[in-house]
Amino acid sequence: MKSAFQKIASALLAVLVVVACAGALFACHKKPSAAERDRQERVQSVATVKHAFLNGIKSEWQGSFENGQIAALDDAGEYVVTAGWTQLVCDTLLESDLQTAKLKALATAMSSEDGQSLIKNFSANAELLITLVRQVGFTPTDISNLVYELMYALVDKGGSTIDAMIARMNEIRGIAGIGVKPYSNLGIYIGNLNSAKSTYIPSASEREQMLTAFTNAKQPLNELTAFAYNTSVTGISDNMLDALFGGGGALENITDGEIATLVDTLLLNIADLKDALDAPSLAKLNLALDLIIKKFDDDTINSALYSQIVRYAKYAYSIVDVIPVICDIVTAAGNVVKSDGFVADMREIADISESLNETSNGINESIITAKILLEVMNTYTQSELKGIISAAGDRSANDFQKSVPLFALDIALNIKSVLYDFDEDTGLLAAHPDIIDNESLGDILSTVLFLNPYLEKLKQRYFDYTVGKAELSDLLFIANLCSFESYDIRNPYSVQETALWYEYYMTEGLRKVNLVVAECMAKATADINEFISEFYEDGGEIRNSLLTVANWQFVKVSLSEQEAKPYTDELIKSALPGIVALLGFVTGE
Amino acid sequence: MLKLALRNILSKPFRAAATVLAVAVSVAMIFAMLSFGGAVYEYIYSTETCVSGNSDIVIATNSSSDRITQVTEPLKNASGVEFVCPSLTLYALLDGEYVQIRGFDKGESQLLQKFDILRGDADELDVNSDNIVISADAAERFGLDVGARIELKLDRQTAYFYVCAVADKSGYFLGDAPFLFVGRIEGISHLLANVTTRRICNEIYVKAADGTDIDGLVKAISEMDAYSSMLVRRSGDGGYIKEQANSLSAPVVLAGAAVFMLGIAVIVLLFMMSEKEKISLISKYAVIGATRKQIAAIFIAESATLALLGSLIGCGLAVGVFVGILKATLSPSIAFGISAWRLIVAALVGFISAVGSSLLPILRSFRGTIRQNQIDAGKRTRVLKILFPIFAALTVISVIVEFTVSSATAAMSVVSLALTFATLGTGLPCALKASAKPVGKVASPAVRTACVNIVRDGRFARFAAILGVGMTVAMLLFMAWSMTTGIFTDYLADFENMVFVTNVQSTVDTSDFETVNGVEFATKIVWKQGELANGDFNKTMNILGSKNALNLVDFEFITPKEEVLPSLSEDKPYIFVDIALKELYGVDKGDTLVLTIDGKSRELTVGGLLKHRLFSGNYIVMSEKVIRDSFAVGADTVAVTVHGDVAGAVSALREKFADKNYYVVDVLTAYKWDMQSTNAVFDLIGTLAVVVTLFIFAVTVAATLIGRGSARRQRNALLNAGMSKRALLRSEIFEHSLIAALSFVISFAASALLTACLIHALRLFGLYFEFMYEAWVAAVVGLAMGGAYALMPVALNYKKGYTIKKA
Repeated sequence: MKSAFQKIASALLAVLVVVACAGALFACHKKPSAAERDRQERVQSVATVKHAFLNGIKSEWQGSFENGQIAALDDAGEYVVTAGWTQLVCDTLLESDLQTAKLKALATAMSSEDGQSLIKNFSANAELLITLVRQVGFTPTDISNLVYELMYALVDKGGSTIDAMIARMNEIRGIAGIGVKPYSNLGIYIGNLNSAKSTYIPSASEREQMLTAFTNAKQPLNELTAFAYNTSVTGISDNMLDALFGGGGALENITDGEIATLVDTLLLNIADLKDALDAPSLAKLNLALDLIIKKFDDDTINSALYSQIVRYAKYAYSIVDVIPVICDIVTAAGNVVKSDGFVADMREIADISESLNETSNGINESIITAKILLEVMNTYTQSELKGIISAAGDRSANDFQKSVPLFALDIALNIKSVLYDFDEDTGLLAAHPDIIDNESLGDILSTVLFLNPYLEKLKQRYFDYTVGKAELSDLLFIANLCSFESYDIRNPYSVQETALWYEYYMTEGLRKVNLVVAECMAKATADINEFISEFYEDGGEIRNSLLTVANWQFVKVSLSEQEAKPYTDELIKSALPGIVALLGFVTGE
Repeated sequence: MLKLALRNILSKPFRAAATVLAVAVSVAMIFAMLSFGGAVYEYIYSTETCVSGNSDIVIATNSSSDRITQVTEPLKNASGVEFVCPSLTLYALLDGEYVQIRGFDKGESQLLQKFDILRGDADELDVNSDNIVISADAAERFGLDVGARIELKLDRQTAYFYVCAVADKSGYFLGDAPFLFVGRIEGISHLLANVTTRRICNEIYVKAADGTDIDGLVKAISEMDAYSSMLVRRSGDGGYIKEQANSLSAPVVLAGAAVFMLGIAVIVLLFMMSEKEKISLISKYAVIGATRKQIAAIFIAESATLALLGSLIGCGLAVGVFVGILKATLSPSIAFGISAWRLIVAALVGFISAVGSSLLPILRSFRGTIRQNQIDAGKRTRVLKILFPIFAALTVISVIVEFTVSSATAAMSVVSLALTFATLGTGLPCALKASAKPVGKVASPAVRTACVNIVRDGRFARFAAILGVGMTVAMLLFMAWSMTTGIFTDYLADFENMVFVTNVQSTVDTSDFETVNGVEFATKIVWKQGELANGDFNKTMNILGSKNALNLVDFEFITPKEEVLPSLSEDKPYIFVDIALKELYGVDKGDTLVLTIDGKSRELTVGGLLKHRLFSGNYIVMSEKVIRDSFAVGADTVAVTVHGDVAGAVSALREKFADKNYYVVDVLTAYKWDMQSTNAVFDLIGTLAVVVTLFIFAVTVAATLIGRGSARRQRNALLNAGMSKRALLRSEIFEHSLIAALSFVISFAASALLTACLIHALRLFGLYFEFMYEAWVAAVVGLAMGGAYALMPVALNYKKGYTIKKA
């Protein structure tokens, strides 16, 4: 017989077992906390984003392939690299401040038909990314934070991401029975990443330097990104008239006073941007952008999103120094918008623009531009404007990317020479041949119209070539479009020695380009300043034409070429057609 | 002495407890009635200023100005400006339902009001411009919570927002109708036009520095170019808030005076309930040699102890119950201030009444021998018999004067109210005895015993007085509730087929509206408030500015229709007012009054008198053109009358004008939102009526039980004499039933007269109404109280206390 103690001990043990089981069961069925549920939702949304992105690129790709499944893909290497970079982006999204519901909405948008078609041809449709995130409802704050965090992650975790991709590709290559095509594709990408590793993965000190530069530039970078996104979202850079008159909303049938208020507040935003981008901030921003471009501008990051960000960074880098001036000019333009009767005229034009032909609309745009230009001239003295141009010229003298805005302006001002005074025998006829010779004007034209846009394409095509997606003939074709010859650059290597041939253009070639650019920049700034003198010169031809155009009534009927001739004759005398074209180029119209 | 007093208290613990409770309840009732008006004012003030918060001045866009504005440098730098807070408020659709979305610039969302956050983090508003804070009610209505994504539509614009916090119904959210979402201007501006920007706004709130002349600052801002076409005014219109609070609380304040008097009467009657015992005890003390001083000290100590205890408990009860009711009915988030002086007054009234009334038996017993005192008790009955006809006669005279001399109506109505209660108090005991005598002739021994008791024992007279007066006061309170609710809501029925289209520019063409299916008629209207004054009065009036206003609402014409209609349709510079103004202030056709709209004052002539319960008669009808010409205020609303399906017409109008950003809502819905705060006050009045009625019944029960306690010997004697317990119970039930029935009949009859007096007395508050009486309300209240009182012997199981003891 059991003793009483044994009975009690047994009973206690039984109770303890029951309690422990119940506790364990309870623990197993414990409801996740709100924070845990939120985290789960974020992880799920980000996984959907990853899948949508990869699946959008190639329909046979999945977001979460196992190694065995990857080994069965002919383009296994490409998949691993794309998935690796996508994972870095997704990890950044997961840890970002983006609201969970917004992440979900992004996942839904990317999985939609529109999202998938955008991703399928991302490099061609990268601009549509803005439209997509706009539809999802991303705010300027979201975008600026994300851009910063993505760039930070690229520096901070880019190296480990590449290592992980190489390790995974090696692992997949080791899978027994892997096909020839996947094996070889993995080999290409491993080789590609290994060769890029030495240049791409920053050293510890480099990494430290870049991260510090990023941290220091966070505020101006965010301001700039937010402003750029905001203006692209608002449509002001697309079409101000539509933004103000055609958008609907609570200000349907907007009044002149309301437009003035709207414009005022928008101008205040621009003033804020200018205040945020003071000299120290600009220096920090320049440094950060410079580091990004130097380190990542070779398209070895096979991530469409990152490539796009680097492209935007380069664009920002080229204009960052002149942003304060642009802000001032836009503010001056805003003052024109607020002036008496101008809004009424704009409203009238907005109403009839669709029924007018290109010639008439062009004349009207010139009238508006003339009014704005005169307001800018009222805002700045001649010497102030010249000072701004000279300072901008000094800052961008040694960098062809930064030279683009001033070069573009000089071409715009020389539009008459470029379009009408072109002489087949002597080439271009500069407006001020004593300041800028025709050859230099030609170099400027090449830089803006050929080298700057096609150099990017050359880099992309070279990367495609290294992974077997492009032919040598493609490379040659793009290199010719860059018109290196116009800078007297003769590549000593043949295209068959592809790596050396490419390397020469990227190093020696660009060094020579920058030398030419430096030489041209001095001439270009002097040329622009001469135009400024003419703009201010009482009784001068340009100023007289400008005043005449500014006083024209808006054209309200479609004019034939013959009917428009008096207008175009006067316009040619002024620098307006070039400036109108430049504004159109800048605002993307 | 104190020991003896305490022994006396402890010897009858039940009576002591009942006395303390009755005093406490009376004190609580008195406090509640004293504090009611203040609480309503505080609530109305909080709701009226929930949008403007702690600002002093608001600059708002209107139908004649631009719809947006911004803070200019001259405003920011104006002398006396402490801070400026721009705000952008839009109406957008969420799931097809209108919501208000209000934005502030970054870091300024709590400049005017603080959030009372229940869940989430309001600081997230500054992190992202698409974050919003919503109220708990909105969260429940739309099934939202922290983290939820919502899609708001305004015309062709769509914007997404994320709930970062859910707030309690306080601050901005006191005016949560339609539901309010608070966010950032930057995020909300996207709904405004195809731009996203900070600083843009349609309201600017200005906080003036201490010591600044607010009116001077208003004038200075009005003269600034940027705001000269906008409405610049003080944020909280103190006069209007006071008027609104007064008109809502007036009936209850008047009925409250009766409650106040009843509270005192209950305490007095309660302490006089044990008069006989006290006189007997005083005799005993006198026999054993106690001096008058000693006797007085014992009884004063006893009554002071009970009164003090009752007053203290009453204070606690008052604060707890009253504040509880306020929180439950008005808003749990408003910190209602407890007025210390009102609490002290209530406690002092309770204490002094209790101690004072306890002195009466002492003084009386000191006047003569016990035998003489017994004789005096009989005289008191006779005093009542003398007082009753005097009060009755005075009441009749007062009522006749009140109803016949119009200039004296308001003042005499208060006298009539007081005299009617006095008549009730003195008449009910006489009526009880008078009715008991004939009824006592029936065969049933229980009934006969009851009737004999009623005739002989003075306590029944007091029961009848307390129950009867209490019942009448309760009826009056419920009538006040019914009346207030009726006054402010009855006229809404006239609007059930009407739709308002707001956010229109003054140049809108109304014929476009009449092409919409279901729309019968559409007219432009100025629908806003203005101040109307002459030497005698200054009132906030609702202006119906339309030549077609008389087609929208079914007015009764006091001035012949043939005179009114042409004047109005021909845009003659006349105003047409309600007959209430004539009744209250003698305003008549041809008089000149000063009307002030948006700070501009103009003298206008009264073109005629109308009659309608609209806005309790506080309305002005005039032509829209006259308003435009005189005050430069354009129409901001199109009033549309609909035949058939109102909801369908609303949808059709929204669809038809989808590109115009009109705000289309049926009037009943608009008023449902507008009346939200008023409805809360109705709830308060209703709850207060119920609670005070329960209090009245509780003190009646307490008084009855105290009085019954002194008749224990009498019941024992009846049982000893052979009366069965059942018969004794029946006898007590009959006593209660007779008192209840008589009280009900007399109170019910008196309630009609008292309601008429109450309505007349409201004129003292500037309110004019025709007689309205909901008989069923009074009947239900009376029957409930009477029924409960009649069933007391059964409910409290009197039978259990019947023990045969030697007397």
